[in-house]
Amino acid sequence: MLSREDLNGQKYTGLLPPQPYLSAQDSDLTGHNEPLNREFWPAIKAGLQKIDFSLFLVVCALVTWGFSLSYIDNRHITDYGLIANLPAAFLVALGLLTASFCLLLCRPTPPGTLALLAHVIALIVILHGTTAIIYDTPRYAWTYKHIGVVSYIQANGAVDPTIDIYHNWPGFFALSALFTRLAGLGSPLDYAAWSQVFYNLLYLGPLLLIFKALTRNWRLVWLSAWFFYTTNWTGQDYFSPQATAYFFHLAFLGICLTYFRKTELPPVESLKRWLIFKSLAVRFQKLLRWGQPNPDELPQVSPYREAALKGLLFLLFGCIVATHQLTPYILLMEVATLVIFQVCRMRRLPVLMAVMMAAWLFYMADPFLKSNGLVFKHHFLNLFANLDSNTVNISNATPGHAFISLVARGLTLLLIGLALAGAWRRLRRGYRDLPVLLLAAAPVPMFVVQDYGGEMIYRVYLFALPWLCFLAAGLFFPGPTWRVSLKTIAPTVLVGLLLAAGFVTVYYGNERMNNYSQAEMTAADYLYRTAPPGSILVKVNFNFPYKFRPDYNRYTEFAMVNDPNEIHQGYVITDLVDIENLITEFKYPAGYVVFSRSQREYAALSGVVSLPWIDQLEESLKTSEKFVEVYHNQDVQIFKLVMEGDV
Amino acid sequence: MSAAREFFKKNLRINIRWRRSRFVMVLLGLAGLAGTALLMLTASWEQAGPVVVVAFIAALGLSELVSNLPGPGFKRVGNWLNRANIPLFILCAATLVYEVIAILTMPEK
Repeated sequence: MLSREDLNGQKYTGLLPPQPYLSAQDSDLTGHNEPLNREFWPAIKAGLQKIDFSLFLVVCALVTWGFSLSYIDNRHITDYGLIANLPAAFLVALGLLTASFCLLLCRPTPPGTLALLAHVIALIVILHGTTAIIYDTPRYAWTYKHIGVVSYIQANGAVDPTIDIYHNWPGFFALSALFTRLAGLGSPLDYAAWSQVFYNLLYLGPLLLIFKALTRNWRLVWLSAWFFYTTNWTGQDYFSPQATAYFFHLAFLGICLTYFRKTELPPVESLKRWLIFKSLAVRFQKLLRWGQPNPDELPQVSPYREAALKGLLFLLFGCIVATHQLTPYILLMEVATLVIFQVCRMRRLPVLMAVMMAAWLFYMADPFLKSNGLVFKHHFLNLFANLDSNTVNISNATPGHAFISLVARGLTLLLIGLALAGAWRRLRRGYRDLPVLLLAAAPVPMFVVQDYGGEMIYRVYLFALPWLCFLAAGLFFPGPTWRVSLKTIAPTVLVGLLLAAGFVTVYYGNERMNNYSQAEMTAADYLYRTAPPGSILVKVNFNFPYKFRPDYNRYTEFAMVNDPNEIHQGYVITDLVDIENLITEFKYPAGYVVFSRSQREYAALSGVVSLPWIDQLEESLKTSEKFVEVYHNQDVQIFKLVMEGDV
Repeated sequence: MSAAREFFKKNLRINIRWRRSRFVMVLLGLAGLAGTALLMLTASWEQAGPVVVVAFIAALGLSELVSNLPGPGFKRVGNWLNRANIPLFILCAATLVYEVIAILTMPEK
């Protein structure tokens, strides 16, 4: 055993020298008149002083949040969503974190990056980790459809473009299948519930890159990121291709704005080549000169590194093109806007992007295009029809649902109002954010193109969100020089709390129908394991975990409230005779009818079919001799049509 | 007089170089149109289309990558790629127009 010597030359083998007994005589002999352990306390004190006090507040907020989780009842959610079931401790935790962050921003000197990062990460965990912990299963019905595609690829090693649209844009699914395999997991069901936390953490890097490219004001950068997370209520960050494509899109724009900004404006003669009229070219150049007065010093990169970054951009866009249908178009519009307004110096980039998109659409997605190509013409160039199909008619909604819709609209209008006020305040300080305004407006023309199944409004809002948040944050911290006063701290804290409360209200507003119990998952698993291939599975609506198994393509899914993309459109179900006719007329080998708690919740929220009608239909199936109940648990009942040859 | 002659000679040289480059561009453009005509005559859009589009993407991407790299070698490669982009752009545009027309004139299902 190694031995060491203490100050007196005595050998010892422990980690620390033995504490000497010091009498008055000893202290004279050794020259030390204080116990040795007192030297540790100044070191500990110095270490503690280096840790930001705000980190303690972050820990307190997280502990309070963790304490509140066990008091959230996710089985009895009302029309008003999860917020009605959240205990006070949850709101206190969120409020504490928000106040701590806003106070951190109000410091005269920049705090450490760790403190700022800890606040934002804690916010993400609280906002998005709550449901991942308290729910038994992943949220949203579409999550299960995506899991099914990933499972198909895991089982078959390839895609089949003739099955559905997902197999024609397989980037996300192939990546997920690879990740599932590398992680040694059986299915994405093991981790899909944590997708919201994962994607929001992933967005943080590119967001900071974007905001730092737009300003050197650290308060503005971090408050913009904070606003992003408290206003991104669209719910597109679940286990989905669009969430993945959105990350690539943010990274793409971050690299463009950081490394490929134009430093000099072109002369009028150069602009005249494509604007044709000289007066137009002169006015345009004046606008550009006004809108981009003094770009901040940009990072200098070597030509080889620049070439590598360009290659990375092409790769990112290739990934986007292979992953999602809508994101490439919006990104193309944003990049084209940046190139036209002389912000980005890669003039050929929009052409390359357009050709890559077209190539994928016409050649790789050819099977889908040949069978569904005309879906792109749905409401094409019909602005009013697109706007109409994108807005919820709150006169038909339940009181809770109407309240949630109103809060969502209010939150959006508040953000837009803050953004406009922020743009004005920054303008008065001499900061002209023309690129930011252009990027915020770039996705808006998509309203004219198509309604995207009624979701275009959410997608346009999502893609405009980073820019709106930047402008909104500019209202509170328009410039780098800033004085601490109650007049500036109070509004920041108030607006932060308001946005956080609004986010929780809207983001979890539809949880009554978005969460599925373990009993429903078990029933769905039973159904797909026992139903013979080729069967038709009839449901009231599609709010049920379905299509999540690798052989999902072997079944026909039918909802009495028709999804426009599914089969047998226009076939109306009014009673069990219609169900029987549907199964026998189209000669399905077997037919199942599924009733579940989540379908009833959706029916109650949407109001398309009434709950008494569903109960009556189920009762008639129970008493009918032609149908037999093959499975039931607390949340699900499954009936099967008795066919010839059934035992 | 000699200064005027020198000035005239110098401008003529520049003028010839400019005219030559424009002439080459026109030739390349005509080559692209000729290729388009060939595709129309042989009705080989389905076979040649993907090749043309991929070639254009590769040429445009590569020319963008080498555009700022130092050295005469990269400059030469960049010049050739820029020249190749002209007929490829025309062919690619024609191919995509064909595909769009095919989609728009598809019979209703």
